[in-house]
Amino acid sequence: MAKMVRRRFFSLGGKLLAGGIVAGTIGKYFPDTVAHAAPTVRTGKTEGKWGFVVDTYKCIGCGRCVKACKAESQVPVDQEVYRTWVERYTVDYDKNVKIESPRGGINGFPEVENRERITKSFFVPKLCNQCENAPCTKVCPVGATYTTPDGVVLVDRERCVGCSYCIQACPYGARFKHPVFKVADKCTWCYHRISKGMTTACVQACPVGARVFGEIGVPDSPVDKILSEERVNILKPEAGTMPLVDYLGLDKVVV
Amino acid sequence: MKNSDSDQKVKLTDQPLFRIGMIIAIVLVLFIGLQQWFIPKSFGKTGHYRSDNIQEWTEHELQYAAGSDACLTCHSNVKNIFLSGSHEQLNCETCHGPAVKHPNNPMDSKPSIESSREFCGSCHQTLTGRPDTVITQIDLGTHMGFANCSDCHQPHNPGFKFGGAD
Repeated sequence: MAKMVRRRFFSLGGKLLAGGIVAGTIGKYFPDTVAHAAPTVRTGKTEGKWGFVVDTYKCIGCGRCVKACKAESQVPVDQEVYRTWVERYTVDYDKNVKIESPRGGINGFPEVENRERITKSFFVPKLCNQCENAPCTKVCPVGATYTTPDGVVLVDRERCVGCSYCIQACPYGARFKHPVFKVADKCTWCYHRISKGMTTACVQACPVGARVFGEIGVPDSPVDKILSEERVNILKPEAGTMPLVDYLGLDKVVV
Repeated sequence: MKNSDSDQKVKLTDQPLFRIGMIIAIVLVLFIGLQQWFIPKSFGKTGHYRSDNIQEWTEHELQYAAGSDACLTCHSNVKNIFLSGSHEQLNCETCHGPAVKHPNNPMDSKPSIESSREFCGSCHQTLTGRPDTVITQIDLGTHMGFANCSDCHQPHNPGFKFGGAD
């Protein structure tokens, strides 16, 4: 009789234990399905998300932004990796489109060979679009890249294992393997600056105001003024990534 | 009576169920222990990432200062001529390079001073794609021979020219 009671006790206890482990494990790996505390880390202004506008009518292709970015974010100057870079698009009489970005445009651009045949030419600065629907954060197998509560996509250098999935997932080519740290790297919109109320290094270095940074949804923000008054466009809308970088004067030849 | 006799014969530690239970308990303790060890503390607090990393990024070292205002408090000799010219919209560091360390260590950390034709030409040389509505452009190949730009132009206010040149 006592044996039967003990067997039932073990059987019931075992089931409860197994159930508890399964539930606990599931809860641990899917934090969104269980109630969790509100974000505790709130840096910078979080009224709205940050926004970035690039004015392609103003860019003169001097490369100061590329230089400033490399200095501020400590990306080796002599390596062919860029957090931001400038492209020149030239269209000639035969509708041939040429895209060039010699060394990311850091030392400017050379004059084209047959200038008289060019019908349309302009510069397009590129950087991470900090997509609201970012493909790069979705493919990371170790949770090393993520979107902060104020909308910036960052890379955790401690967790990144350097598998480069995110580099392939980005439709804008904004990511690269950092030559020194051997982890994925990309533009952070100078997160260390914007969280202190400063603007990004590239915006500050731009001599003609072709780059504008600020908050979206705040009336006196320079970005919000442009977004509400001007006709803007985004890169690769068909990718469904919902970028936070908007472009003024974006031509259809721009990829 | 017979049942309780047979219970007393086998010691608790020799019972198969007890041994299996112990093995399961050890595996469980190892699993939970390793899980705690490998998963960082702040992981999963605000999402599928280590939320402490946000704070770490805010502590990244600065290279560029907040703007020109800090520079002009000391360099008041440049202030008036700079603010009255067409270069007024620039930040000092656009031409002089990153200088956040300079105010604390003015002698050891000096921002660069460039006045070569190539340096000024990186913005002012005529170039395919460069909009002439945005910036004054010249052709370095034909403009004033090989003179340095600062021989004629005051760099902080390039409209002001030395030596009566026009």
